[in-house]
Amino acid sequence: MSDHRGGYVRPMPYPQLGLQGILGKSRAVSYLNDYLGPLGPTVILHEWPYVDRHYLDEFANYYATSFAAPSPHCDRFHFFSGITEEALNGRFDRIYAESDAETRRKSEAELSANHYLGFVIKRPLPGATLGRSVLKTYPIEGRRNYAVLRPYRVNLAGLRLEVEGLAYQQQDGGAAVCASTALWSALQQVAHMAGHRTPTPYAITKAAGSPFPASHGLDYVQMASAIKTLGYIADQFVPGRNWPLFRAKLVSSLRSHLPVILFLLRTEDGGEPANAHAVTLTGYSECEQIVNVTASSRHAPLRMRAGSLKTIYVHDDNLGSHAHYELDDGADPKNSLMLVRGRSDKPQPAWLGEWLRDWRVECALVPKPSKLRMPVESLIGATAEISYALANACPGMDLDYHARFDSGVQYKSSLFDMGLDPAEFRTFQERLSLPRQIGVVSAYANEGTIHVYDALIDVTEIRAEPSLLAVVAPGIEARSQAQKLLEQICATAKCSRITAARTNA
Amino acid sequence: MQEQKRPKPAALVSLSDEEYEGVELLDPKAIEDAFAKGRDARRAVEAETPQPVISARVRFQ
Repeated sequence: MSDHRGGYVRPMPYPQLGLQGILGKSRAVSYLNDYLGPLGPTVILHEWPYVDRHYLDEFANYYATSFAAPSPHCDRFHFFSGITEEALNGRFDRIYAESDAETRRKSEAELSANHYLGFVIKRPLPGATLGRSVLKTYPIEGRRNYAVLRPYRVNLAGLRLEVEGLAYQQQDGGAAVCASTALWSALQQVAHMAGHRTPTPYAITKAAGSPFPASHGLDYVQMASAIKTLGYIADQFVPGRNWPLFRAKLVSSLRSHLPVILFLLRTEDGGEPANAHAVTLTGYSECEQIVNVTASSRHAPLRMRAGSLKTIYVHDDNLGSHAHYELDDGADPKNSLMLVRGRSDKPQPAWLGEWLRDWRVECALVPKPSKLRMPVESLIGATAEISYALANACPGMDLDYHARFDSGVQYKSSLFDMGLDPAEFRTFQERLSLPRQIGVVSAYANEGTIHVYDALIDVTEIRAEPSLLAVVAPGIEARSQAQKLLEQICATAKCSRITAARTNA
Repeated sequence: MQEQKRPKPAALVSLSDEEYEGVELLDPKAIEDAFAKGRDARRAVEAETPQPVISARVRFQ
């Protein structure tokens, strides 16, 4: 029988030379050093033993039957910034001595918000030590948009910390390869949105129904099938020859807090793919230009900032979490849309070099909660529809558009911050009944500086007509020309509307 | 040089009561036409969407 009294939580200063001494040498650990550096880690807490549900499932179903089975237990390392080892010890002492539960919770929340950077689980797997890891992201600084994040509650020796992130882990090449690991990261978010427990990598591989060992990888259809078997639905789209539209669909998915799995290929001399890889997008850097996005060859293009997407943040199980990658049109427009591992404005770090740098973007797969039935292409279609339907309310204006899915409840909460007309606000909120999932088409004027309106669409019915549920117009003032015309249009469409207050009363 | 802030488009700004009353309503047919054009655009976008063609032989690992 194992002895359960020998566990420990030990603080140590963050090693100046990096984490290789703790986690071993690998490309993923080098990336982790570079990622954590700017977050300013000062102290590590080493927790042992740690039982990780995700690793334990792999252990029980795969590693336990190996001739030289590894341990079922892991180590967990917690990172803190802006605090010394001594000060952190003092904080812990005070929390343990505190008898009032509310004061204790407040101290834990303060520690989480101001000092906790997240954790890395070390698996007893040589060559693939990085298990489930959740790390804080970099500051937004007006451009970074980590859209696919969720809160993680961290139980540490009776204390409760919290970090916002998205779980990442290195592929082990045995029980899970990139296909199931990319799905695993993506489903961390989708399961949370749906209120489900997150599936383990083993459960995902099993759900794919492949007759081959996990190390053979999964094909595209098996990955999509795993999403369905686990109780979700899949959406898909391809770059084809219309890269601005593909970019707009990526941003629409990410703005909806939906993770996107990108399928990447490298082909040698035009033959069969030499490498095939899957990664999970967690966010993007704000797009710089508004460009024309041709969504239909028979209609006017949509002006969309999302069409110029360049920088994306990626969970790559061969490298690390939230890695900065770039979409690149390449020199020859007849070629494919490319994904470049790394950044164009800086040389690659020496430990990475030019390793498998350029990939062809083949396809995007988006796991979604099952009620979100409308595909992203229909959301773009709805944007085109709204751009025509509401054009008469905004005469002579060159509007640009963003489109996303949202939850009805969350959207109604966000109305409080939009500066809408207080004379109508309460009645509007009380009367407006929204489904669990909605589509939001946002229109902006003056190059994105004025949020003119949001058109709310029913996305639970794919062919719902009319699909317009309401128009929320924070950029249209009451008693303006646009308000009068919008009112007439909404009356025809039998939908609710609200604008901003009158400014010249 | 600091960028000049563009004024808010006039159509979005509150008018005096007199000006507001003077705003001409849309021809109902123009509204119906815009809705119809919108529906047509939406169907066209959906119809023109290419589907993925990844060979089942490609294994992502």
